[in-house]
Amino acid sequence: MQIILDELGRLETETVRQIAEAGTLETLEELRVGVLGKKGRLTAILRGLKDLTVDQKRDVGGRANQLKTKLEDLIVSRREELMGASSEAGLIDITLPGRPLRYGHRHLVTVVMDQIIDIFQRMGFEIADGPDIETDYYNFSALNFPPDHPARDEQDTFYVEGDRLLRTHTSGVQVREFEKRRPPVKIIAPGLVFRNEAVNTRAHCVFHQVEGFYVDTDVSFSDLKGVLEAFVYEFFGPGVEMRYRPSFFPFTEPSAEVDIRCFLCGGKGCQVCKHEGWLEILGSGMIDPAVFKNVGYDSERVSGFAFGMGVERTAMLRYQVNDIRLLFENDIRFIRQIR
Amino acid sequence: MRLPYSWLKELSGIDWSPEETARRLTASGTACVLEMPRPEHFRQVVIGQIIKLERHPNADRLVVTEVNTGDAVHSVICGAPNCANGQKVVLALPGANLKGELTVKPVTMRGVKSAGMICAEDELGISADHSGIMVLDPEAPVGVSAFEYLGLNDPVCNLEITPNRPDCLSALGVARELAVLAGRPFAPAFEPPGESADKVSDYITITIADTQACPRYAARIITNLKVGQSPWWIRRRLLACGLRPINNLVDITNYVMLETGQPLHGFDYDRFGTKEVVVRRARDGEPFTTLDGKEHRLDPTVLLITNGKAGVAAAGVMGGLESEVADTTTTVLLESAYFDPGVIRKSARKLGLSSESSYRFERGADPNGVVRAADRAAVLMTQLAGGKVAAGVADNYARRISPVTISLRPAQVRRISGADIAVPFMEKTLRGLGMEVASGETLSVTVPTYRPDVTREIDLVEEVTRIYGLDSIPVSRRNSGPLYTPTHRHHTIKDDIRNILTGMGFEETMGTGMAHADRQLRIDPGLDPIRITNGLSDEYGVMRTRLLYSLLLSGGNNIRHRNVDLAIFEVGKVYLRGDKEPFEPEYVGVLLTGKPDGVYWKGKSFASDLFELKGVLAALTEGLSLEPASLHLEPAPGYDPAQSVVIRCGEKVVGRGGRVDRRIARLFDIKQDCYAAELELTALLAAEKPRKPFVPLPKFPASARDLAVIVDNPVTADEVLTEIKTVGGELVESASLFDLFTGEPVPAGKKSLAFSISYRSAEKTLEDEEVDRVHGRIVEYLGRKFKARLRE
Ligand SMILES: [Zn+2]
Repeated sequence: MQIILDELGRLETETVRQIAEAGTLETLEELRVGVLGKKGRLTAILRGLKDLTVDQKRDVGGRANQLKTKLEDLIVSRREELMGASSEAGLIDITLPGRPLRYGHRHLVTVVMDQIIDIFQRMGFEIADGPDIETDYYNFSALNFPPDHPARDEQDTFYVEGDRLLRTHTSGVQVREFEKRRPPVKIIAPGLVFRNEAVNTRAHCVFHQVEGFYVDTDVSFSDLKGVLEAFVYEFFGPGVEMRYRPSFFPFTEPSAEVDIRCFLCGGKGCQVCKHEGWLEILGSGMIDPAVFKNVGYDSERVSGFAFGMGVERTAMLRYQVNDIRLLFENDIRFIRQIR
Repeated sequence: MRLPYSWLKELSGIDWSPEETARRLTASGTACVLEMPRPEHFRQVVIGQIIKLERHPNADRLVVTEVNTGDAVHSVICGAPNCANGQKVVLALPGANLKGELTVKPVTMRGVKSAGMICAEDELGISADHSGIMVLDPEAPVGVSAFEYLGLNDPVCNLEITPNRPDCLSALGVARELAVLAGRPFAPAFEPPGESADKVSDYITITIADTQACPRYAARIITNLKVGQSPWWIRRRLLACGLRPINNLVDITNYVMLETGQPLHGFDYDRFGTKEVVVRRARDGEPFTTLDGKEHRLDPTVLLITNGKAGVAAAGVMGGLESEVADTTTTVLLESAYFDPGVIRKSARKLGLSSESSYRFERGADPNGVVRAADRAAVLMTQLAGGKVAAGVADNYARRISPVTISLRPAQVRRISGADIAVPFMEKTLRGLGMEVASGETLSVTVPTYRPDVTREIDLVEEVTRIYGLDSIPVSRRNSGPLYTPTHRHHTIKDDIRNILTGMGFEETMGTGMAHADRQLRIDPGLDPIRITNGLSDEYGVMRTRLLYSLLLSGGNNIRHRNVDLAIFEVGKVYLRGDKEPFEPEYVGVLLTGKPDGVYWKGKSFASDLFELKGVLAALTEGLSLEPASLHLEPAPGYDPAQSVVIRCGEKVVGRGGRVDRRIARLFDIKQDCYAAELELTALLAAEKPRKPFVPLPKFPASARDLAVIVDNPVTADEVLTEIKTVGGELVESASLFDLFTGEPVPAGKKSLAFSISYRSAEKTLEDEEVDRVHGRIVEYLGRKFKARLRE
């Protein structure tokens, strides 16, 4: 047994030296085959173990395997050294551009719309949608806009052939969903809306809206405030100050516009908040019993709230975009800035 | 609506600061923004009296005045036509900085020194009037600061009144809101006019032909009037409210309208023509000239006030030219009426006019406030224009409108608001708003007719909650509603598409859904777009029928800005005519042009082409787990007939694409080749592959062989591949084209196709001989089928 251990020792000294001296990859490979290959010297020694006792096999085998691992590591290291010497070590200009792989960007409206939808989905709102080309019934009458009432002037309307109009808000989805479902109904309706207004930096004849509504047996304005507060804290930041201003929408009563503290000036007043210190972000209110009546809900048994917000306006506030037309011109230099 | 703070304070009796007033109004539904006074614009601006006036020795149009300001006399040159000796005027002394723009300095004009400037209203920023210098009331105190005397130290409340609150289109209405908010009683003083011996019935009778449109028409007669300028306090309030003072009679009607919300109209009685007022619908084609001088041809949508013969006023909208109050007027027929809101709205639309009157009537005046308003104006006319009021009111109240009584269950207030509001607060609030409240388990509330918006219990709930304050309602932090929120594949696929395409470097664009009719029709003459009947411009004349329209519009916008290398996409609806109703299918469209990959120092970059588009479609369909996409040459509108394709997933057509027709691209200012495709989302959803069980990975090794054949040009790569797979059978695991070559040494009219084939068996390791045999069979078969020759 001692003979074998001596032989292993010799092999080690010799091979370690030879590895260090190997000048080319070829020499190194010859050396590897000569020692560690199928017919190599170490392999031969290991084969000779068969005559030993079990204990001896364990001792010698362990020693031989250690040696094998050591030699393999040395060979790999030497190979790296040899390869490095033959390559462009120190000559690589790592500042050269990488292969140009494109990565695109979602449109600003999509980014913000997704953020809004995601928050409400986490609060249990289901997505629904309706047609952009609507009837007067779903856009106005069913929402308690009396015919020939000044409330209709607040939403300048595009009319299309066939006695239809381009929806002025996504609120019509309310009525369509109420007709299809029974309470509880908890829905968010995103989509394109149209207003017959001249296009300028602050207003466009097209924009996106997200409408949300929830009807159940005991929904109150207090619940509306809870949902909107959760949204505002998540979207604009925790603890953002909010205020509710009573307002008028034909399909909600009581109605409220919701403002948040201007996050640009902290409420001191700036150009964006028109020196008022507040930013109007959405309209909301308790769904009017007239709407429930139109869809056959009993307003003595159910109540609900609705809210709606303009996506472009919210997006413009968030990214401080000062011209809404940029959103529809689709200049890729603009789109690429959005994160 | 603009109202001076001092007026609201005076009427309501509140002691809040302007800021607090604005905050309280805003928090209760009357959005209020303050316009603060600018004392710095009136520094060195004082009241003076012209005590001497002489012609300028060297200028015809100028006069040299001496103006006494109490402590000094200033020599001032003035060029205004109305400048006269003895007038009380506003004098800006050197050092004044009018409107923050105009600095007054001593000057010499044509050899005469001038130590100040006598101001016109526009120079002071009070109005736009530059017709002459501002002449003050004779009792104006000399030497006093103009800022104080003119009452300019008074913020203006800029109020946004929602269309349901006509009562707040008046100083009294807004003051009532303030009184309720402050918990103060509100009982505006009212004084009827002293009357003369004349009887109103000797002057006028009133007939109403359409009592639906005009439930009430009342009139007073005021005689012995003298037309002149109104006192400053009225003019100041009118100016602050944004109205132009005209003369005392007109100013009084406007002032009372601002105070009470009731529009009034004064006719010159002597030019009225008859002794009767007849209210009726206009006849078809009936001519009428409004006091702005415009001639109209009327129809029965217009309600007309007539003298029994011809129209004298478009009811509630605008008076007529003939009987307008003039400088010579001595007797006024003062109209105070109630017209139906819908009728006035249609009338105003028909006439294309909107006035302070029509604005209020459209929203609803108070039918039971008309006489009070007439009385108030009559009082002012006696006080300020020397008038005598004929006894009695000619009042035809043909269709009585009475206050309504509504029940309010306190529990309902709490149910809707979620706030524990006490009953006494409810009662106090409603009473403060002018309602009568009978207490009980349910409150019985009688609503005054100046609140046409309050007709139901929910309207009372709103009144209570908005005065209680929406900010005071507690925030509920419970979550409730359906347990589970389903998602829908027709929504989530859009998210997947956006992820895949942005991942492939496409930028997302967003169109408006609207299109220019001509250009849209050029893209697809077969789809008649839905027209917008009251469009803003040609650009928004129709609804888009093809996403290609928006892609080209975005493409053109970019190319114009020199972003010539583009990979863009849009997800959106198109709008098509349907059998019964419009049909709005959703599409995803992609557009490639230029070299969107940019340049790479290691190799050349490729210009977009049909095969890049094909690759994109393959990746998109793979990403969406659809049946693989295949392209088939077939003309499609909007695309070049020779390079347009129908796109199928499996057997199903999912869209079209190709090289955009160059003539169409030019319509969008695009002179470079564009490749685009439009895929319909429901078709994509229908092509989704069913979920299949996992296929175990192969156990045995594969053998690779390459094969290059020379075939005639018309033979397609796909045909050869199909044959390779058919002949090779199960052993051909995959085969793909890796090279296409034409030209020397390949003969003309032929091409070389090189395929890489992978052979594998599921049962065993294939021997080389076995692979060679199958490969040989394929070569032999291709030779026979396509006259293909093996390329060395
Ligand atoms: Zn701000």
